[in-house]
Amino acid sequence: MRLNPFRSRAFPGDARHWPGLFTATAAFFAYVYLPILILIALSFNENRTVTIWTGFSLDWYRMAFSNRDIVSATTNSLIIASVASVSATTLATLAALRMASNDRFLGKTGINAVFALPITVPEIVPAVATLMFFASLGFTFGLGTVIIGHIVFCIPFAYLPIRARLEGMDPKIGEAAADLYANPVQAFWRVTLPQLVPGILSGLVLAFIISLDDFVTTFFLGGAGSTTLPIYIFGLVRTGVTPEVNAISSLMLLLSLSLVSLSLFLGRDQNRKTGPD
Amino acid sequence: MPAHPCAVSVQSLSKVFGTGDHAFKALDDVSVEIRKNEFFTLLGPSGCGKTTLLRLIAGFEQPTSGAVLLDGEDLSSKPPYQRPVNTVFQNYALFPHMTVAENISFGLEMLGRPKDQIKSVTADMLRLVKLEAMADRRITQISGGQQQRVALARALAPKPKVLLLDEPLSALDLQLRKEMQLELKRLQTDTGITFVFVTHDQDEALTMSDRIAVMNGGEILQIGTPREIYDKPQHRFVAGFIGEINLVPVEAEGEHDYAIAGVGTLRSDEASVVARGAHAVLAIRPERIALSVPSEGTLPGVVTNVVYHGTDTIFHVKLANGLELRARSQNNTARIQAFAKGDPIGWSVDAASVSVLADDPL
Amino acid sequence: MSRAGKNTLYRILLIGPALLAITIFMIVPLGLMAYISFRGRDYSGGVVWDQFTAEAYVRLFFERELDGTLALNFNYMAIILRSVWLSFLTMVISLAVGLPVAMFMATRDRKWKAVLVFMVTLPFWTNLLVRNYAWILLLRDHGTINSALLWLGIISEPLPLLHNAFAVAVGLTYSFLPFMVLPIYASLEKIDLKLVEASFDLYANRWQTIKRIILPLAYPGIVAGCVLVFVPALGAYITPELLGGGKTLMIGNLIGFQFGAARNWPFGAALGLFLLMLVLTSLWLYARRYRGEMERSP
Repeated sequence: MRLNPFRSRAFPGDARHWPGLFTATAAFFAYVYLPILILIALSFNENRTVTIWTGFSLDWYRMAFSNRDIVSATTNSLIIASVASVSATTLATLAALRMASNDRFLGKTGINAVFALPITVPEIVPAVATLMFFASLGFTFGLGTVIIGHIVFCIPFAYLPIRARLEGMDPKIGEAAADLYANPVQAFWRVTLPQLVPGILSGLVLAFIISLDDFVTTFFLGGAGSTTLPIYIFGLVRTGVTPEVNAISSLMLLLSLSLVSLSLFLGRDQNRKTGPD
Repeated sequence: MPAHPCAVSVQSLSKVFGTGDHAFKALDDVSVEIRKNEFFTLLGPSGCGKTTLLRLIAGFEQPTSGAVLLDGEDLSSKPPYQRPVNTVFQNYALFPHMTVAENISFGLEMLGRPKDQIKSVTADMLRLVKLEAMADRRITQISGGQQQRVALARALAPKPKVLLLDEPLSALDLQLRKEMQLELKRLQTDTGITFVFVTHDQDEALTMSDRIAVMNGGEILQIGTPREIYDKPQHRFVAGFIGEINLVPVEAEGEHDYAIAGVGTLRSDEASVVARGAHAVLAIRPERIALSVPSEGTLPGVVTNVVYHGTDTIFHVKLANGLELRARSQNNTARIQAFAKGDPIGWSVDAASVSVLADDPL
Repeated sequence: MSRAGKNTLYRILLIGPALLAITIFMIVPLGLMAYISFRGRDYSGGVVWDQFTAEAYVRLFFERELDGTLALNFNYMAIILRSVWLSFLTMVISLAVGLPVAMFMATRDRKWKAVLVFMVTLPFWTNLLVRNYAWILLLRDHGTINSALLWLGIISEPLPLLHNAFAVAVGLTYSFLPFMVLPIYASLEKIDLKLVEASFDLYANRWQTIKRIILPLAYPGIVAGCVLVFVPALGAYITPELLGGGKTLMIGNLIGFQFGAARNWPFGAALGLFLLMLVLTSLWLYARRYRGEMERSP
């Protein structure tokens, strides 16, 4: 009986087992997950000093939920994330439908590069550039400007999984639909779209998470009345560590974790190769 | 001093993969002595344990029990990089980031051989496999047949005591495979290195080997020369796996006489493996069955089908007890075969061509 | 309408909206930023549009004295160099940590691979701000690490772990590690384990096999991972802001500062353009190198 499923007895000819790798990986996951777990644990600490555990308490969550600022920040976050993710996913789906096809046309590579731009450039740069752009045009900073900024950087996050899904689809299926007397419009609604739905939902959820978690763009493009949860948390953190922050942070973590699990669940078969194995 | 000094001695080797309910016994107490300078083939269907046995000799797997000896030395504690044994992998496993020459010299480099020796051996090897012109090509720039030869040269370059070949020809097309069979045999004779060759292809095994071990279910069923394996199978599985064969259930009548119920009696040169009155099985190759018009000294049957194969014709012959035999007759004249579907015929087999097997289920 | 014309129309209708959104709200602003970097500074926070000046770029290296003379000023250069150095350090640490992990993942069976990839990816999708905040809890004077060390009696006074370059490096590594692990894993995963066995068979021990077979074959993944960690680290804003405590600034913070308290848009624009160029150059070098690699092993 082996307790560690990854290890077999040391055997020098085995290409699958290398000394030290298991330990390194275990240390890596401890490094990645311990801080998050400690944060969540401390959010249930009844003590105000935050670091020393004295007992279990839900007080900080109760306080967080009854804080008007937090409630309004949460509302803002949800409004921005919903509008931005739905708009970005719509734009991305339309573009992916055309970009995923095999035909080459002038500027296709360039267009793909443009779609990748928002995730290639460090966020601070387009954030301040857009700030200057909106200011020059005399826009009032607020929910509107934040939403526009979010739509732009959400596009690639929605675009990539949808295009991947489209490219993974068998082009013969469209031909089969045509062979069975479907016109192109019918073929799209009855054959292509139903297959694409998991990809679209996956992209939508990813865009939603990215928007919900964003700090930099929101910080620079925001104004009065557009405070989101990350902005609010940032403000609190700068003034000091409090158990309330731990509680809100933990809630944000759990929200992201459940959403990303949902997204990966929805998009899971896009990684599945056709054929046995 | 034995007549053939032994190169590889496999002693009660067992290998179990997995544990508990998922345990799978890939190799079950196998022992075999592979002689120096011989072309030894492990033949069997997929999953019979032949590749596992090869990998245990190479050192890629650890035996569950038993030992592998090379020139009398126990290899058990040695990793593959300390065993004077090299492998030609099934899909070659050539290093894609290296050139042909770099692949061939890799082993010599790792052995720390002097630079000029590496250079001259690599050149020799390139010449041996006729790839001098390809030395600086990348692996991806040469054909499958050439890759096969690079794999061979790479494994031969360090002059191993034993060369292990894991179905090296399976990725080649038929034409190339036939050529490479002869080429491999030539290389083995030229280099004098012991070859242990794994294949599921009976033709390959028969044409190239000095001796063959037929494996099934993790066991070696029979070891012998190609002729012994083909002509005198000692096991139903061996008889069925190599070539086509008719298996005829009989009852032993005398030391050499066997009765086919409701048909007649056949003679075999082989001494009976079963007691008088017990059941046995006769194994008869289709080409050893002689067909004629019914007459004295032949057994009766009816032709139920005639299948033309170009070089020969296969006759399906139904016996009175319902058993159907296949008889192969060479088309060595342009005359139309005399027998047609529905014809009653007589058939006979030379006593030397009849093998007697015990009537066990497999 | 002709078939070709119809095709073009569909193309414009489908791709157009997304392309337009990114162009208007990202590419045009970036162009505007380049333009503003050469304009005069409005001290109330804005731009003097009709004044052309390279003052913002001069400011990178020099300080203007009250009497108008220029004196060398290394403050900004120091921040830029620190950013590059910290990003480089982050990249090296991530590589050292990520390579064994990727190798471990690549040698598992299918089921475990999927689980491990999920576990590596998961933190990426959680809030960056929150993840960095968690490190404040750990690194503070009275944080988890210091408390633990004090309790164990290893130290008698809290170690100064927070608000320094160390904290920023830890935070940056923490933020971007998945970007190193995943591409290396992807390239290692494609390596046939038979190649490793062939190497063992040809008398290469484990170290020689890593050096001669595994690393060369994983090279494209390693380079991709390095770029994917270096680039976002270079433009980091939150990590130095939270863990550097205003003392260990990086370019990102310096840029942000120009649009806040400093009210110097042209200088902020110049810094932004500089960062953009730095990033694009890294990406271009990567693309060139990677393409070279592709040609060598098609």
